[in-house]
Amino acid sequence: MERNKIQNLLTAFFVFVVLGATLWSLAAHEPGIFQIETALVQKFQKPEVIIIPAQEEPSKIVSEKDKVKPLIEKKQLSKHPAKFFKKEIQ
Amino acid sequence: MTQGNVTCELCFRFCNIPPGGRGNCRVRHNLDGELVSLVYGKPCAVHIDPIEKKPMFHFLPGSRAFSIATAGCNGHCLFCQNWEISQRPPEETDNQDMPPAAVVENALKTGCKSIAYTYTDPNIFYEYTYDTSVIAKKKGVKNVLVTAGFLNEKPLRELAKVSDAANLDIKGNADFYRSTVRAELKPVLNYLKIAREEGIFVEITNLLVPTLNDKKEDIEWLIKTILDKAGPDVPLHFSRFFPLYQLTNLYPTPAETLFDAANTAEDLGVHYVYVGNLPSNKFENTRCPKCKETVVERHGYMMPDVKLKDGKCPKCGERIPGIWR
Repeated sequence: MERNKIQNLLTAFFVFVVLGATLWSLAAHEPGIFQIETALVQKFQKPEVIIIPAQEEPSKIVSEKDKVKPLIEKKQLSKHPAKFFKKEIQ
Repeated sequence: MTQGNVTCELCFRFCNIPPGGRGNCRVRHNLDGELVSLVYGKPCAVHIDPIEKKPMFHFLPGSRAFSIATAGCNGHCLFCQNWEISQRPPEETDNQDMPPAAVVENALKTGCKSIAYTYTDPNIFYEYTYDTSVIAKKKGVKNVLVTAGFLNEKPLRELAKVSDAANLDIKGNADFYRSTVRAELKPVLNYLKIAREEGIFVEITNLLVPTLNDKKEDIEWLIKTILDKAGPDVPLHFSRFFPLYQLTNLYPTPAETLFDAANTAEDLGVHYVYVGNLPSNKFENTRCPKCKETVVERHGYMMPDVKLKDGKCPKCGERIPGIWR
């Protein structure tokens, strides 16, 4: 009796391990079937290849004006109207 | 001029500034075709100093001056004592928010009888200086400009209406200005003339830099120019140079050079001559030009002993020029 019980337990354990491994293997390749998305599955998944589309516009040349503006804003400098200057005659 | 440019008319440089650009002083900026001050209400130096430190010896002796400055300058002295803020744009300095009204309020709270616009040069933070001075005047606080004098006539005459006193640097002759200050002498002499016309009480400072402006002929030229342009009653301070900024190769001005210069000034007829940055010397005190009585006794920045009576010598009654109360 005792020997039968042990054999039964071992058989159950063996079946459990095989079944579990099979399910895990299937989940890793076809997660949608079982709707399993665990961190472990994701870790062993192949990474998705991301394709970056080619830039259609040429890169802008950063003008002095553009360089300076962010600094003025960042440092919160004043933009108080100055006195004593002449504007370009249009 | 090109499209969108502005020409700043504050000082002799008349910087023509393209959009996004700045003037020589680093703090006046062409923002979309309009000139703006980047430092209005943004001082990077705020201190309370004895007025004698400016140096002003004939102005409210023993009082304290609420002293402010912003970044930038329209002079570029190789020996600048404040180069870390004067030769930097405002992005590179630690600036506070202190609008004009707050400056005056702080001056009153700290018991300061005057506000000194100093360290860099009040000319380049002109609008801030002017607006603060207007409020200060209404509240009974006096205004002192510590300046190199690079300011055109029109802005100067306007600023003079709200200014009480000025310490003006006359650094040397025309060659010295071009080589060592990267500026011009003529605007400074104009400043002296106009400031006095407008009733600003002026004291003059000359920093004696070894090997560059300390020869006997340089000192004599300076003294004669001051006598010619301003007369004998303008207090003259000779100041000691210490190696700084781009002149660390030079040695400090010997005491002997300073005393020789002061003696020469007295011999040529300047009534009030002082030697600064050199503690406890005979040229710290104010003496009556008529009877030679010591009328103000000083020891460094300790409280001076003022013996004047209603601005006059207590012994002979000679009026001593200054703003004594």
